[in-house]
Amino acid sequence: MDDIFRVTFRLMRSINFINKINRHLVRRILLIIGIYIISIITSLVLTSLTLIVIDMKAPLDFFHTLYFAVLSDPIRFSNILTRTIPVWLIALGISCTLRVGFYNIGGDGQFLFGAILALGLVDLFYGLTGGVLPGPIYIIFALIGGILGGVLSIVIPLLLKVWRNSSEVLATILLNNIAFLLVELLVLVLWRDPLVVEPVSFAIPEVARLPLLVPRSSLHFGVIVPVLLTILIYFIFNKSVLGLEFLLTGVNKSAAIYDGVNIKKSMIVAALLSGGLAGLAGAIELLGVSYRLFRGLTVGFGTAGVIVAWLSKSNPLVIPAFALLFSSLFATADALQRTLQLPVGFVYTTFSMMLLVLIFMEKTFERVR
Amino acid sequence: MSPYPPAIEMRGITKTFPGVVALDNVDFMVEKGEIHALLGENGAGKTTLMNILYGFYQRDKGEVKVYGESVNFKNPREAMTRGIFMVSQHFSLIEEFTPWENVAMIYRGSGLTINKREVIVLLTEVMSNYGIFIENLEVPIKKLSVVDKQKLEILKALICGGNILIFDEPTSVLPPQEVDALLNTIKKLNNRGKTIIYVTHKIGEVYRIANKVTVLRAGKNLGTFDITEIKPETLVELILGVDRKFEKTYENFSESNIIVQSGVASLNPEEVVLEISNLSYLDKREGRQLKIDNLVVHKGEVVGIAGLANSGQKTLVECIIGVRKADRGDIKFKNIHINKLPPHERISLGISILPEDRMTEGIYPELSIQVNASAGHHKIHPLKELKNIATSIVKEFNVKAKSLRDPIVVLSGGNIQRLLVGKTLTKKADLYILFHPTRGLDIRSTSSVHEKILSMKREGKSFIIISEDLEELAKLSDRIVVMYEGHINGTVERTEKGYDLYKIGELMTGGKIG
Repeated sequence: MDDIFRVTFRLMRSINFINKINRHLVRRILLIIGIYIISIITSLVLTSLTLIVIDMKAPLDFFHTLYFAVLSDPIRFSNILTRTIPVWLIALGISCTLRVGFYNIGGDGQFLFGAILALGLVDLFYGLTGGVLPGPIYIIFALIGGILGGVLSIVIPLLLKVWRNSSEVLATILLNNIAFLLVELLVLVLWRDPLVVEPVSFAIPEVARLPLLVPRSSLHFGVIVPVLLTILIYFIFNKSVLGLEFLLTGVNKSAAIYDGVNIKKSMIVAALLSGGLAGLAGAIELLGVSYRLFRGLTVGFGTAGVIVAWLSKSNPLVIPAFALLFSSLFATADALQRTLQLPVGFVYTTFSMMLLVLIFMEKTFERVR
Repeated sequence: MSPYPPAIEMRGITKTFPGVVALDNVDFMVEKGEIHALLGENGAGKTTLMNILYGFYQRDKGEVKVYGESVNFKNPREAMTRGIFMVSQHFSLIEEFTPWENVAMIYRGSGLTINKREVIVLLTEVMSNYGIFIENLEVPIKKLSVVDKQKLEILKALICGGNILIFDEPTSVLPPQEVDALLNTIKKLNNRGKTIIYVTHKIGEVYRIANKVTVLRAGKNLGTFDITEIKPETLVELILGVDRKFEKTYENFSESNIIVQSGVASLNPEEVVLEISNLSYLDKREGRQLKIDNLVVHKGEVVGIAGLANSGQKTLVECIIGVRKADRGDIKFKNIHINKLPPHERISLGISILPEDRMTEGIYPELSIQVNASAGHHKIHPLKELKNIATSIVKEFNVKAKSLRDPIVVLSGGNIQRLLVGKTLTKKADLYILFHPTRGLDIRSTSSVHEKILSMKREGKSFIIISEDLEELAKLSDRIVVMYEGHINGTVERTEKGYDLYKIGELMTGGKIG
């Protein structure tokens, strides 16, 4: 390991400007990258081992499908990107709450509330205006509805936390169930589209749908939103007082109080950001992909968001990479569902293993150092 | 020479941490039945040496023998099986459990279940054998005093068959009047044949209990001496290394100089910074109560608060800051009623605090030295300047850090204390509230912190200093307020000759002075 550091360092030294970077830092960065690579590889190897139980050739199928579904052509890659958007947005939001030490497990619930409110509001507005306004106005209206839905659904756990210091974990998880049941109610009874056999809601009007970015794929203009928000959140975290106060609040609340940080404000802002982003993700999914509400609108994006945010150490620039990795594996599992009878939830196993290996490696190296 | 092999024999111990040689070829030998003091400044390597003996760290080089047998402890548990126990500054007790439950954690009686009666009988037996008593065995540890916690640590070691006891700065957590009792306890243990290693930086304590003393400086052993054969001055020279700079600081530290500087300045009674009247607070669950009829801090005044541990000092500060909401009463800061304001707004008005517990309330453990040094400064200065601020704090307060990017936890206790003191004193404020500003600091750093406080006072800053070190309070304060069981039991004014420490001691223990 030491040799690798030394060789790499010498290589970097040969480029003149790196001379100034301190050796210790370079070592640390290399160590971190190494840990990540090892944890990804280990989890994939463990996944393959598990697949052998199903079929000797299953691991080969898995990696072949992975390649086929993701990299074989730009259209497929665009489709993967579409699937990345919700996880990416939710993980961005959760990274805010992780920074302040607020554990939002309710990504799925906020996502659904966002979608519900977006659909409800845009339908109402469309009815009121008679559908004569240009599309972007409806879209913006729906997006705001989504943010509002997410924010409203996180307000209850947030207030309980700030006022009564009760566990936000429980409250957000319970709200997930409420959201799922509300969707059931809507698609089965209240908003059911009678023309479709399956229980789905009515669709959003054509004009309010997000136009496609890449023709013949499913990638829509909504992908711009997470890109912009990633940059925004990067600046909040690294260049703003708010970001510093998030960090101080998250690491040591007592010390933060003595340093004059308004820890309640930090928690409230971070939680609202998180809820808002998850709700926004719901609205974008509705406007760009599903156009309707139905039971399987979220396949655990909230859970995935939590794992992705943890894996990325709440670093907004790393989040897209892990979100993409997640959606690639998810698409692969989805394709294999038919051929191998592999349940889609299998992806969560892989991802959880990745996280476990990462945590294990970090703790080990911490001790060694 | 004793016919027996020494209890502890450490030879050529070397230990390096990234960038620092903590111990350099150190020999350390303790005969059976000794009280052996290990003396040195902060960062001299005392704790590191003991942690190696205790199996908490692994040595790079060297040999350790216990009763003549070569050993290689991989963890403290292995050291314990050989009868080596450490009573450290941070207690290894479970706060939610009662004393007997904590003992039950390490003592397995007969059978699978824990027999409460058996444990309590054992505990009382050991207590009466050694004359170390804890009155209440049925309340959670967190409600016990520091003194009782320390006693319980000692009892745990005795119950597990400890023969060699390491005390790591045991008096640093104690109120002054409990120090005698502890030292007597240690002597008593020694009379019963226990070998004691006493780690400290206080020369006075060494002379009060030790037979032998070993001096460490900068990771090197400067020799082991019989206590009767070495003069205190020589020890001081050894600890600090003789140079002219030291002589100067030592003069400053010794007596008169500082007292003259701080002598009751011309206080303007009109310029009140903080005024507390009829404040009361009661939390039955935590057993905290506070009742302050009147407390005033003027501009440019240093008010010392003396009192036993847990006499309400912390509750008072938390009520001033607003972490706890007072039930009744009024707090005025710079003529603004701050009762209703949230903590951060009160602090923004110009209060800067050095919290009581530096590890749980002071530092941000995972974050860098730079962030730790500059947190709080961001309220006034733009983010871009924080790096410069951190650099200047580290320089001015002599924090020995290799890189500002390293996490704070790589620093030693003394360095963390200097960093936090530096952060607190450089914040722009009118009132500085300092808990134990020099706790764990060596003579040199202590006197420079004192000088800094006094020079800020001359610039018109006000201070509330809570300290367990009465001499420190006497040096710095314009008057000393003594707290007892949540109220102010009396105020002692400075006289021509300084303070009547005896009177303060009386007030601290509940006595009334007419």
